[in-house]
Amino acid sequence: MSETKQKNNSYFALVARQFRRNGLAMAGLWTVVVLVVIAIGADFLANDRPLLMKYDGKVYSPVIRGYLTDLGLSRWPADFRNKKFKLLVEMDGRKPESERKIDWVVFPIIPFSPNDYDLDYVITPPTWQHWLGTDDTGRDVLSRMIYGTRISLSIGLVAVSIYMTIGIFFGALAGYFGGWIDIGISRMIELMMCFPVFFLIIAIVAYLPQSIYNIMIVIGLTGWARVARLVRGEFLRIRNIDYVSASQALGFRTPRIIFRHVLPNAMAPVFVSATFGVAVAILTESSLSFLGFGVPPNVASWGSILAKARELLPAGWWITTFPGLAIFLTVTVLNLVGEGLRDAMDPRLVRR
Amino acid sequence: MNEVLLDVKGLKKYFPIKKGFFGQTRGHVKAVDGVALSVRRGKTLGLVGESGCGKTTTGRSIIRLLEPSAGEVNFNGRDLLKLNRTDMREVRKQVQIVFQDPYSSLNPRITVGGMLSEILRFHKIVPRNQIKEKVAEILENVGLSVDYTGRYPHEFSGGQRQRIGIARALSVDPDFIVLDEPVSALDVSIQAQILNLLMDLQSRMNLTFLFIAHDLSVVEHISDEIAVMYLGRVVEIGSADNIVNSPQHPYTQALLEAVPLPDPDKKVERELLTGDVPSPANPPSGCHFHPRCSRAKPECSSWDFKLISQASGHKVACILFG
Repeated sequence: MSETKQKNNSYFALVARQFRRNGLAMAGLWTVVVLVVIAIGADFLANDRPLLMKYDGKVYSPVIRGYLTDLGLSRWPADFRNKKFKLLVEMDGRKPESERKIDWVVFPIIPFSPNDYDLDYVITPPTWQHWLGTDDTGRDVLSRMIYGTRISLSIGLVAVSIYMTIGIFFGALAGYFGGWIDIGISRMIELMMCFPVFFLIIAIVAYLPQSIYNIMIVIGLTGWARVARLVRGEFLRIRNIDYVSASQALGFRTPRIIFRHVLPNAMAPVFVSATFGVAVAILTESSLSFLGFGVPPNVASWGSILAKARELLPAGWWITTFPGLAIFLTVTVLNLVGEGLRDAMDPRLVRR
Repeated sequence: MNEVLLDVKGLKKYFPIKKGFFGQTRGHVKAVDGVALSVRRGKTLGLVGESGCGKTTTGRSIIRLLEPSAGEVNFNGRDLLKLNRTDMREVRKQVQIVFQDPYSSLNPRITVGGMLSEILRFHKIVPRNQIKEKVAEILENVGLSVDYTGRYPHEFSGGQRQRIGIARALSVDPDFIVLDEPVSALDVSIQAQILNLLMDLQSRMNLTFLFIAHDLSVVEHISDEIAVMYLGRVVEIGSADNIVNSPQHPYTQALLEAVPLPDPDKKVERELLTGDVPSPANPPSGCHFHPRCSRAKPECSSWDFKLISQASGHKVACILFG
């Protein structure tokens, strides 16, 4: 039998094949992809600026121009200075036909920015205009939730990246070198594990100015102990396997042995733990924002929307329900992906 | 060519036993306790002994995978134990090792070609543009197809993996290879193939081997000389022929008795060893073998260990010959 197609048999390809067999995990992964797309494309999904408009004979994209002006690459034309495009469209519509400058205009699917307040539509239940209703200052809940996705995912991702880097660094040092380095780092890990992390985070955040970057950093600096312990254990195991001895016998330098020969073999459980870690970080941010220690008041995050809405209950059920569901959904799908990864990487479960 | 390539003297490796909260040292496991052996260029020294006698530790200490506690390892006229990191890195191109377990000795995340080309690049064995050809040549030398370069270790059988392990050791063009029980984990039919490959490579590339095994029947084929180890010491050393056909030390005799005979109808009176190897942390006094020896005398427990040269040219460490 001639094999025409060369099957890719790297470890990653094997894991991917295993993972694809797990329907629930794949559904979770696709949901995560959708959430990421929402987070990245938030400006194009919910914005009070038009996506495209023909004004005075020229086509503009105020959304994209917004990015460029923020970067200092472009400037707003004089007529757009106040950036109130809806008002502009309305005023233009009142003019006699011959004086109108706007030929056509395309708004995003949700034509509200997260902080657009409209005091005529306070605490409105879901309508065709406001799909998930409005809050107590007339802000569109769906728009706020879309921008909340961005906050939640970026905090989850950045915080976990920070503590993974720290955890892998200390865990690798402790596990590979052993001796006094290991004793020192292990005691540090135990010390960190003794703290109830959430209260530690609250205590630190209470002293810092409110900003999402501070939250990322604080979660990142407090979460590394678990990863370090995991990586240390893996390094202790792998360090004594013959292929590492072979690398030493070949005279490879220690950084090469650690990063090329030990670390890739230690990463499987770390990736799984990172996936769960993102879910935990998102929950932590929501809890902090709910308690009022989180994002600054004008920033929309799922937790801060909930916190505001709690004061209004029992009125405005939609303001609490949908952000709550968003948190629930995100944490659930991340856990599904994590469990799928764990099963796919488990060599005992490999089916070919 | 009878020059001595490797000459080991008084090699010791003690592992501290640590106990208590502060990890105080409460004694030592004397895994290797004063081993002396030498191998001539192009020859093979077989090192045999039971599990736990220190053969593997000896092999790994010689190439400094473990730092020996004391002794000299003269290789090509230089004492390896006195070399600094940089010089040792250069010497590693000349001394290599093949491991027992073909499964744990290959990195599962790296393809065969990736592994070999990494070594060639790191040690600058050949110019960059010739790496591909060199990888093919190395694989061919160990009887593997060039088509295997893109494959991962888990796609190979045990015998093929052991060939890859040998290819790795050969990739730096070494003079000397420690073969740490290279066939013990393989099927008997594969064992013969690998042994033949090793002997073939030795004659083609003028390699020098230290062949470690627990099975005398494996060692006797490939070795020119054999050293028998017991509890961290070499108790008998001599030509393969002498050791196999006229063993002197009671322990060597007992080891040979344990070799299975190919003829099942032939009944022989065997004097098999009883008991386990004593703990190397607390070895018996005098001759370490005396509690298990059938010819032990009361003086054995206070005998000073020494290798005694015999008329036949080999050396024995036993009171009966002193």
